Amino acid sequence: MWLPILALFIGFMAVFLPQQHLNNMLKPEYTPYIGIALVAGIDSIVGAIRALAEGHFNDRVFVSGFFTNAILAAGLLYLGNTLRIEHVAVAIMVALVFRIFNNFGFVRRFVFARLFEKKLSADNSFPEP
Amino acid sequence: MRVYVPISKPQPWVLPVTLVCLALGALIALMIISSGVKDDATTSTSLGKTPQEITALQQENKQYEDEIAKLRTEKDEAVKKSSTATETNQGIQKEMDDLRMRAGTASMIGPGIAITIDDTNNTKFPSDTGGMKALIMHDWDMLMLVNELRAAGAEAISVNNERVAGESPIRCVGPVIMVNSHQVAPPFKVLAIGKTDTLYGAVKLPQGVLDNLMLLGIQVQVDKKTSITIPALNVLPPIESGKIATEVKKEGGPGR
Repeated sequence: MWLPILALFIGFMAVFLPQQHLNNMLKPEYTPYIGIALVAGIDSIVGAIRALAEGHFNDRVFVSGFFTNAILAAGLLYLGNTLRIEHVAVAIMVALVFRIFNNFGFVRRFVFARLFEKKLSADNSFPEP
Repeated sequence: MRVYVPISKPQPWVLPVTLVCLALGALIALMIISSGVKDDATTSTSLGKTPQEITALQQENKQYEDEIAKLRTEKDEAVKKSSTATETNQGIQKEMDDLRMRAGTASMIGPGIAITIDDTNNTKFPSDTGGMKALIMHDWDMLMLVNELRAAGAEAISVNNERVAGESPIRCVGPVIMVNSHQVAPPFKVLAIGKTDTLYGAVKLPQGVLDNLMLLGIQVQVDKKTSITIPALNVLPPIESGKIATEVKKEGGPGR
């Protein structure tokens, strides 16, 4: 249980502590790409929590989805910027945030169903959003 | 009340989630660093400099200028001391003084005129329209005025305590006029040493520089003065490209 939290901390420190070396490499133009990858990762995590709640969580799907979604989101943003399409970041953010809210709604419903209506089973406790 | 945790078998997902959390932590750190990098990157250019930095640099500049002025007076005194001895040295000293007054490295005192130019009092044009742009004192107005004074035989000119000498640029940087790379702002006080009446007549010429400015509502006042003091140039630009020619070759076009 504590291993993922520890890993979050280690991952943060592994990049944050040697930032003097990264400062030369990292340009401010990269910030949107990192941000969009971060949001894609959060989307994957919320999706995974929903899958856990629904009972069809698959770790391989989760891990592959996390990394490919992050890379895909950043790649799409790069493609859009290269083709000079405006507001690509906004479009990607809309899609991702929509998914995050959607999945989070499912998770919330599931938790409430489990907390307050114990008679209902997890399978039939989802009203349509 | 027992809170139900929907995860029943923790074992299979711990490792992938650990992996993902590692990447997530790295991403968050990257995000924080890269948004911090932005500040560093902008401060390295002159545009992003903070006001404190600029003020500090200006103060530093001021200190250096004061030091230069101090050293110059010391040098002048030393030269004067050494040249009082013989008649030849006195001749040299006289010629040097003459050249220094012309070059602007000596502060000067004498009769002349003082011109005060303030912003327009014309309120017909609101400041947010383009009309205001035509109603302010521009760098070319200042250039024309200085040129007029020179043509009238001004021996020394200063704008807001900035000596205008042979190498002094007058230009416009954004909303301000720069003289000798120093910002000057309204009200402008232009001082000129020379034959008072000639200077006065030159700037008061009908259809002249100041006349055109006054048509725009810019407040201009010209005073004859019996004694005005004009400061020396703070810093002389170094001469790096040219040197004194030993033989004179005429390369210019016709005219002489």
